[in-house]
Amino acid sequence: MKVCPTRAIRIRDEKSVRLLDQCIGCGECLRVCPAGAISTDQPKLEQLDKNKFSAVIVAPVLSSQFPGEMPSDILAGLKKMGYTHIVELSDFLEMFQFATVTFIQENRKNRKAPWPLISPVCPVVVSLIAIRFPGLLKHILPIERPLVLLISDIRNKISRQFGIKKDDIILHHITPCPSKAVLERSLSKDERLNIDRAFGINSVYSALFHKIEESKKADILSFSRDRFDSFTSGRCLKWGMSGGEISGMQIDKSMAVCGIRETIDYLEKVELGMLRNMEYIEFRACPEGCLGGPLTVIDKYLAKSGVYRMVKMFGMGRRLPRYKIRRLYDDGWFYSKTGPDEDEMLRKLRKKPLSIESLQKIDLLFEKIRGKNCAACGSPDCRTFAEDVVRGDAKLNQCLVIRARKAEGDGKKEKRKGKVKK
Amino acid sequence: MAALKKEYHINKNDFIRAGEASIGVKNVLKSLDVDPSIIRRVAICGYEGEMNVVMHGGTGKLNIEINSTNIVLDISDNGPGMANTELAMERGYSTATDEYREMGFGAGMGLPNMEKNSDEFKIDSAVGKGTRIRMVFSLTHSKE
Repeated sequence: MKVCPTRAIRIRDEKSVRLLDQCIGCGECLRVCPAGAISTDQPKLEQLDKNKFSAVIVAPVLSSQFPGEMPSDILAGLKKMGYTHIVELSDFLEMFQFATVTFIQENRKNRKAPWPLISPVCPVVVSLIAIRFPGLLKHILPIERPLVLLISDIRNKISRQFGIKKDDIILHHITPCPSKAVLERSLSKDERLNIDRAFGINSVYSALFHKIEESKKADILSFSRDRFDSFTSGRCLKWGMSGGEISGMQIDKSMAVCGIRETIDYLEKVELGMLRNMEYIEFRACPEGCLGGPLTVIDKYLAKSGVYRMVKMFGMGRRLPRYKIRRLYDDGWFYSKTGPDEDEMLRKLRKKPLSIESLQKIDLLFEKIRGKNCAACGSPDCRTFAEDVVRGDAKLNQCLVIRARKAEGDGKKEKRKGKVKK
Repeated sequence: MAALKKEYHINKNDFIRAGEASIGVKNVLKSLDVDPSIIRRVAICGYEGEMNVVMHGGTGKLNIEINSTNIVLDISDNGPGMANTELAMERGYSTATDEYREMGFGAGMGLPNMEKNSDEFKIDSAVGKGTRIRMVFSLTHSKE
């Protein structure tokens, strides 16, 4: 409850946990809850319909979760699970990076957007900005995230290539990120509409692990590859690490920040007008980047060491011709269709504003409580509790300190009364 | 008329806590749903002012008063004060030490920036008596 960066958790009636709209899906609560009271609401992995065309989009981090396994073996394992096609993001990351560099170069001349620009990639950071730093929304780079670029027309592409109806395509997503695993909370309309099911890496891990072992024993060439099955690139492997996004772009004045606390600290700094000499900041809500996602399985530092080994093997070379991406860029293909501040999901995240009077009431109440943030009331700290009371979501007598003081006071009064009687 | 008042203390050379007052002010304004562009201007002015106190001013206070029409930011300190405030207001004029310059401050833009970002700006200073800066931000008609 206390680790929640947007104070979105309340415990009511002894143990029921309530999640408010302000949840941004960072998963900090998943990491710390010792009782396992919090879990992600993920669908069960079921048998895939053999008659349908089923593709899975894998997050760049997946290959880091099997240190020592080759990406081709992981691909084979996913095929064994029943997926007809495995789509990964390498090409879209490369395009995103190119578009970002181009935008920054243009921005140096026309100053359309304010410095520093903030990476739009981490959905948790974007939600965090919407709730706690709305003034910084205009700093978010107006280029669409790679995953959204990919899914916006993957269905069309597959249906054209193989001549299948769009409805007969099942699209799954495997991710380390709680904000994406719970689809209905996803920020992007494209994600909500186009992905049928999303799974955390942890929920498919053991199944996939066995299939990889199985497929390694079998003939290596037991599956056929086509243009929708792509192997991961060095660029893609690195993407899952903090600093991976900017390492593929030549921007001198860029920096990478990771972890939710650090992210908040640095967003405060940006808002105070510091870091104005930076052009681009990559923020990741998880420690060490997506590798440290709450739905990963492998220790983040082990995964990181594995990634470094693989990057050495694959290199960071480019795969796509620049002129083609340039043409897409000039067509406006990369621009986000809705600005982040227009998205209805983001608007829903914000709390109703308080009036000056209620803020004064909260201040008074907070002073009256004089508590130690014990959280026994079920709100994360005394200040939030005071706010809950003023908003009408909690009752003052839920506070143990106030109740104790009252009981003590009553006791004293009674004693005094008693003395008078005698 | 309802007015919300808050006071924050600022200590000399306390770089670790520097910025906390401005962050506090910012969070108050956010919960009131003040226009983000105004919050930004208040935050920038607050931070510049806070840093001035931390670097030159000795102990000081940052007071904020918010009512339905405007925000008043009042930063005062008991530091050495300045003999010539007009000179201090000139762009690029700075008395920051090399140490502070190395930290990225001392470009001589602090006070001019504060004047630029506020709707009303007043500075009072006398040698030996300290400095007081009062800035008003209108909530009804914005400067930008």
